[in-house]
Amino acid sequence: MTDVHALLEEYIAAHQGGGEADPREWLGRAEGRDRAVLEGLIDAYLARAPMRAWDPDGFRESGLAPFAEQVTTALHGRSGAWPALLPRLRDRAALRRAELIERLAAALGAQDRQDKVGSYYHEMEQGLLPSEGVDDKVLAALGSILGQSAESLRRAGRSLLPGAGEPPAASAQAFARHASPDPAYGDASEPPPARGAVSPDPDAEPDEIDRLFRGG
Amino acid sequence: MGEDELIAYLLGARAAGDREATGLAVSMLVYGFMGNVQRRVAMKVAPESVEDVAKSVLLSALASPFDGVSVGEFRKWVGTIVQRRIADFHRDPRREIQTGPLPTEHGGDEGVWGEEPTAEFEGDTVDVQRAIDGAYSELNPLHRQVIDLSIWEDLSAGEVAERLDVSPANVHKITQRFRDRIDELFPRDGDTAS
Repeated sequence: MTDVHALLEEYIAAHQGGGEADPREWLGRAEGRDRAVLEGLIDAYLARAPMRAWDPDGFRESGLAPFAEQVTTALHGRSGAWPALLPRLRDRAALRRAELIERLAAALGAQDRQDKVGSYYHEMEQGLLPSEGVDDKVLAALGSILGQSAESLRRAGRSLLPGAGEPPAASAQAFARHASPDPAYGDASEPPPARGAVSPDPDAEPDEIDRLFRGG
Repeated sequence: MGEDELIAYLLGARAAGDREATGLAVSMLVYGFMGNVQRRVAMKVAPESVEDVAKSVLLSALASPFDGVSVGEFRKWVGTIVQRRIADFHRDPRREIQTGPLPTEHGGDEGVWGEEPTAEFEGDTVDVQRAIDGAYSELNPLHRQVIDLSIWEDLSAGEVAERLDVSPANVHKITQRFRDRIDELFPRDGDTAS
């Protein structure tokens, strides 16, 4: 019989020692009921363990910066969780953005308007496009490419905060004055990625593509 | 900056529409929580999906509406979402995304953070978790402190004894009793926990 509590102690020591502490390595040393108990104990420990202390260099090296940037864009954008979600779904589908846009344009019957479709898709990933204006036909086409239903994409696109994406309120200035980040963390804020794509011309007469992405 | 301070800072930044401050707080939370979330997820899902599921967890947690909630609830909410996203992974082979914030009525601790994650994972881990929670809830406040320090913080019996003004022998006894109780409460095949 395995001593699961000894294995737990060993795991905690490894975790607190700052190593990778992949729990599967320890689980591999127990079987059956012992393994289940060890798994539950390690899970309970990890649920209680303090969060990793902030380390700007460690953060940069972790590869998590793009994800954090996407989440931030989602929190302050007008497209719900799309900025954090669509890039992940593209990765999952092993599609480059250009490939996705090509297929989306084709699915919408707009092969000759690929640039415009691409601009709108860019706005979706950047949280710039109000999700409520995007037609179900677009979401169905996008969903079929990314392996999702139109409904789940619609749900994910709902705004995360009332007023998100609108100009900051006066309270923003007050917050900036009174709640500056700790200087020790100052160099962690990285500039947002360049927004390279050109937005569709707002002065042009709306066409079918505009209607599909911005509503009637 | 502690966990609660950080959540409070994020609340203020979001409410004020301060993108830069939000970005810093989000970066710190993602960096702080991702490792342990990934470890928890790794025990239950295929290796190639661990990162994806872990990101779903943090996106759901951070996208929740935070209004009027005790900041201490964030960790608990993350824990709940971990279990539910693992369940989602096993339940839906097509892996439909579960990220949209659909705030439920504030009827319980889980609801106040926003989206109600879908199904609870019914597996051995949950049974063990119930056993651990059950054994812990039976302890008096002093014995809970002993368990917190001796098991979850992995301090030696001597260190625990010194901090809590109890004897090392008592620390051993309380710890062993707790372990035995978990063992009793985690049902074996065909057993019913009492």
